[in-house]
Amino acid sequence: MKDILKKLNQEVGVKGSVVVTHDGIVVASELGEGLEKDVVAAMAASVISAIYKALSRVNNAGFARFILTASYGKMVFVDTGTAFLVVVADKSINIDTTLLEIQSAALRIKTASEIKV
Amino acid sequence: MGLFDGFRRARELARLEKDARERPSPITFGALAGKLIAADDLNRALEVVTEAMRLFPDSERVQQTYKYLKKSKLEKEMHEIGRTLATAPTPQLCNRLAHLYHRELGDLDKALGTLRDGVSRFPASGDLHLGIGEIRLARFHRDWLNKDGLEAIVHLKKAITIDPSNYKAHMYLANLYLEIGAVDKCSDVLRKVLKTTPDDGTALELMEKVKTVPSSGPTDEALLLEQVEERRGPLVDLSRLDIKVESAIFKRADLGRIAPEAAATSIRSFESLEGVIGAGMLDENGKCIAKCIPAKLDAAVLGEMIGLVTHAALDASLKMDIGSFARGTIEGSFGYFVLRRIGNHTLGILADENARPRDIDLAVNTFLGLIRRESQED
Repeated sequence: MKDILKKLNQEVGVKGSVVVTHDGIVVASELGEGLEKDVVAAMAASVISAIYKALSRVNNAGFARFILTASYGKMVFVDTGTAFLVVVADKSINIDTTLLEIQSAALRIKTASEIKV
Repeated sequence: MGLFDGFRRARELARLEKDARERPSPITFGALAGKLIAADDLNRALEVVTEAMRLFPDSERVQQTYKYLKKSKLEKEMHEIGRTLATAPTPQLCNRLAHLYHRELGDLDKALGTLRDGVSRFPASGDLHLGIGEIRLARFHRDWLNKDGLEAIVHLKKAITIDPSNYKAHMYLANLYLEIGAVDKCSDVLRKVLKTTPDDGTALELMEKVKTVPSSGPTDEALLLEQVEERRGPLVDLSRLDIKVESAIFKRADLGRIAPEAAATSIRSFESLEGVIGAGMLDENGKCIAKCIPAKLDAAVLGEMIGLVTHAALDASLKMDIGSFARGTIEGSFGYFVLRRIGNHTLGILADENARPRDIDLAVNTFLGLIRRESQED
């Protein structure tokens, strides 16, 4: 899984990526300078929990992806089945191209998790 | 290329110009700019996109096209600098590259990254610390975030420690202290400036203004910055004190004040969006000031959903030091839940799987255009 994240981090503008369970346990991480694993994990858990809570008001299906854009960066959360792939990136990334890579990485992580089980 | 090709191209450009004029949107402007870029008329393309940036400042498509065009113009120089930095880096080159990212491309993040890299190689460079201080100040004046203010203070102080005669660093620091209400600290910095240059008009003027501001309450920088963040604005408004400062750095953030009546009228534009379940707008206190719910959905539920995700996203953006949360898109088998921050307000749109993200974006831009017009007429 670390190799998948390392390859993903080579994408232009990606600062770091982490695979985290719904309750914030880090499964794997490859984070750039300035990003702390525990902080990213806690933040991710909080966002995922808030989205689940919000969506439960209308359905219980959960969500597949959340793209968060801030003034100076982006975060992408992708459901990999048993966990979420969370990617922190520059604001200026070409979102279409990078999203393709992120989705691809998420699929490989999902496959890798299923094989382990 | 033949004569007829030339006529065809000119006709196509005229059509696209007309489109952009009569139905202004990021798409029509983007199409025109794209045609001009293909025709290698980068200068005219840049004019078009600059106008589009003015009309649609939140459009990512427009921002990206703008950056692409600016970058194309600066490509040669930036390439040369990048090459030299790899083999023979100097603080001046780092600064120059950061300046191009900041002032020409408006890319604060890249500018900051360049300077951080520079500081790791040249920790004793006052200019690089000053550069970081400037970027952090620009971010601070946009989002009023605690962390940016603190980092600005740290790096400006470092710049001063390295070079006690650094006038710019002193003045930036003095102004920042005043904005956050650290009046005594501001005076201390100004006294140092006036010791070296007793006739400095700007410092003298600022010192006079400082005397009119009461010095009371907390003096701890971190505490004061927390108050600024909570307020989403300075504790001392420099513009009210009529102080002439460098406008590029001290430009006030546009807080996007929205008239509730304007929002309530404009939000009806979502009714025609295919797949829409509901759209709502919350103000800075989480109160719903506008809603449009064509499907069976409780308005309070929609408001709660918007509030939950916005709160988490705002917090996450702060913790990741990526500025203020601006927009979010949640996708799933249920459809889409799209959020957009407008100043301190949040627009939320819930749509089913029949909606298309592109149509939602268009609908949001239409709404923003309407709300600006309605607010101006008010």
